[in-house]
Amino acid sequence: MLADSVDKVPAAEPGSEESTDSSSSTPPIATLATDPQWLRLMKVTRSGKNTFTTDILSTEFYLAGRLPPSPLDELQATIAAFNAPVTADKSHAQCRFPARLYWLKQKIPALAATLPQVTCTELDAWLQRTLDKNFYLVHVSGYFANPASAFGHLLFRIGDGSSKRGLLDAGINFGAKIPPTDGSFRYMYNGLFGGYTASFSTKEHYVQDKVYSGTESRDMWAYQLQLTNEQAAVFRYHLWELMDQPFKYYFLNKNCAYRMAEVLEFVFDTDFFIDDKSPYYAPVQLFDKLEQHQRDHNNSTYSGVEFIPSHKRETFSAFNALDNAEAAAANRVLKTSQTTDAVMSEDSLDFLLDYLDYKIQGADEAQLGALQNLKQQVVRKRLALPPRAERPLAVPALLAPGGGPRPATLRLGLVQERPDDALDLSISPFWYDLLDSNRGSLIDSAFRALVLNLRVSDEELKFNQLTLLDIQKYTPAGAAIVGERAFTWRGAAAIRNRNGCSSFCPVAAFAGSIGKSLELGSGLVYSTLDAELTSSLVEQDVRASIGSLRQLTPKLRGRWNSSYTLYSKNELVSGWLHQIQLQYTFSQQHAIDFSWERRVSNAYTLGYKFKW
Amino acid sequence: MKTIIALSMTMALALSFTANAQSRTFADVYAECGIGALLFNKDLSGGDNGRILAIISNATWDWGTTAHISNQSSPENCQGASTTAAAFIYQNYDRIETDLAQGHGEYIDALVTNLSCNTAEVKTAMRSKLGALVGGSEADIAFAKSSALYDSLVGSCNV
Repeated sequence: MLADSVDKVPAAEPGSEESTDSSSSTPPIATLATDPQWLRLMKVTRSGKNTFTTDILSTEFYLAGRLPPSPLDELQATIAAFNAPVTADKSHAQCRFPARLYWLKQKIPALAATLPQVTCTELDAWLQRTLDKNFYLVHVSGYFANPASAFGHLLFRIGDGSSKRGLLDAGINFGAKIPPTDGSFRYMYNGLFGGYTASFSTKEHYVQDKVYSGTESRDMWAYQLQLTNEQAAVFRYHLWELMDQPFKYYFLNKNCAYRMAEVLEFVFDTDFFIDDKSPYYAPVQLFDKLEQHQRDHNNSTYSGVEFIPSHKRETFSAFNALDNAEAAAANRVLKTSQTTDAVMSEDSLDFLLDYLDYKIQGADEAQLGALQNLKQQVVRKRLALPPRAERPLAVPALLAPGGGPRPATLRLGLVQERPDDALDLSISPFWYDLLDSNRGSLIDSAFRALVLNLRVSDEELKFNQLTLLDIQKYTPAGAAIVGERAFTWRGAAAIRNRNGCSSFCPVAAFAGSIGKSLELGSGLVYSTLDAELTSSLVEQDVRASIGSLRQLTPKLRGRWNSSYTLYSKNELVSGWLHQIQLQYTFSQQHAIDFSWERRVSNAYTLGYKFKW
Repeated sequence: MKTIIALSMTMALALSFTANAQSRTFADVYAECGIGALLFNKDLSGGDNGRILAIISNATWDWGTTAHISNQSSPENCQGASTTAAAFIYQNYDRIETDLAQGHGEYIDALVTNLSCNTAEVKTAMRSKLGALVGGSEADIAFAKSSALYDSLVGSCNV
């Protein structure tokens, strides 16, 4: 029996609207079939007055057995299937579609008397395990080692809240199935144009935690949703229906964020979370929506956000908490791969255990044996000391990405540079630069995609640059652990106009930087070696840069950068280039910026950013 | 050969822990849940140990939702606390080892918190057992160590 549901729904003949209850309080089937919640259950999008499309690829999800589905046919088929005789194969529609059953019970209460009694063992087990639990929407931070993961990821978690990481919670993932043999080009093509299938799946959450927090060192933020009993019930029913159903996957818009948002729209009975007209949907957009929903509904959407640091961040914090002698002792062990006879503190040994686990998780086969051997030595040494009931460790929490600057950006700038002044116009669907008040993994980072930059001068609109992707990551050298190196880096690809060209003369350009940075007060200082290669033989250059990035006030950020050209074939980019940039952020959507730049003459820019 | 040694150790360890007579050994859990058959059959026929361990690693428990879709259910005794504990120990052996050595941690807490027994005593027993397991580094020994820790758990707590 269904653990916490539903009265039974009586029969209706497929194709017969009259077959349902005829009382005045019950709407006709044709009307019910247009109910927004029914359309959400069907996972359909209206494509015409009476036509619908779906990204679900299997007719198993549709009891009427056809694609694209008809919501009316499907409703009739569903009622018929709920009334079908019980068989032994455990695939009765009442067991497969509890959310549809629940919804029908709400809409047609009089139907609840005659349906057959069905025992749904697996469904009951799922409902029992998720009964009276907390529901979390988890934001996994961006992973810059893989551009496709740089936008972040989303998970649901269902658990009792007894542990921060929720290791034994049900972790619900929506992910594409990517054959390991697919190369980069096929991966990009299939990802962008619907060449992959994706599905919801559940695992114990520790499986996801191991990958994201362990192997990939990604921080997470868990939003605990505030659900009524009814919302919690339909959440579990709906997930059950969706599990393992194949969806067509589109990286830009029909991705994990979109599918999770669809579930939330069903649970909250709203169209608030998705803008179907938008050509893209990044995870951070769902969290912006969640924040907005929270504000619009008197803080009743989620009860709190918990920061869950990556294993690496926890481990490095543990190192920073050691005193000098303890840190030196730990580093000696790492340097020599031997635990010495010297007495070591519990703190040193506990750090080493955590650190070696972190290294083992990301180790290749060549490193694994040595790391495991060293860990066994440390375990032996630690077991000789008494256990501790707990070790309070303060890991500074990073602000959750939701509520930060919006991703899509339009920037207008007035440029004064003798002899010409110009109007600078830029637009991008995803723009976080170093001066934005970024949060989460984007702190002290820049991540811009598809930035079109145009200039108006001499009353002419000219193409200046199309940045395909530009990622910068300033990682201060935090913990002085032997063998750890934190690099500051940049990678960018663009099509831009050749320097000095007054018409349309595009070149392909690839830029990269590598260097080091250090925390200094409320900011950081850095030095990098920068290079740009272009398809034009006369435009290659190498520069050395120093600079600083600083939060001057809560809303004002500044950057100074000076670079010297070490090598260039183009005299227009030789010598020193000095830049100072300031940005004042008024809100998630509005900011103004000012910059001064000097190479051979001064140039000033005053800009306004609108973000949405 | 490594595989056979690992399996021999596993079996020996499984037999050497005369835990609660009602409890299943680590090897029982895997065998009864269908994964053991893959493991042992492949091993005895000279299969690749890395691949077999991957099979175990991938066979995480999915809260029953896969069975719902495929119309194949796991045996009922593959969904209880002992199965959850066995899988959790194997999948997170390094972290549990660390937590036991330190005396605290989220992994060992996750393992014992919901058990209806004295968690402090369980942790003490498992920490004591860990002392006998220290050493070795090869991945296939992790199965044997996991087995020993699991048996230590069921020996001190009726899982």
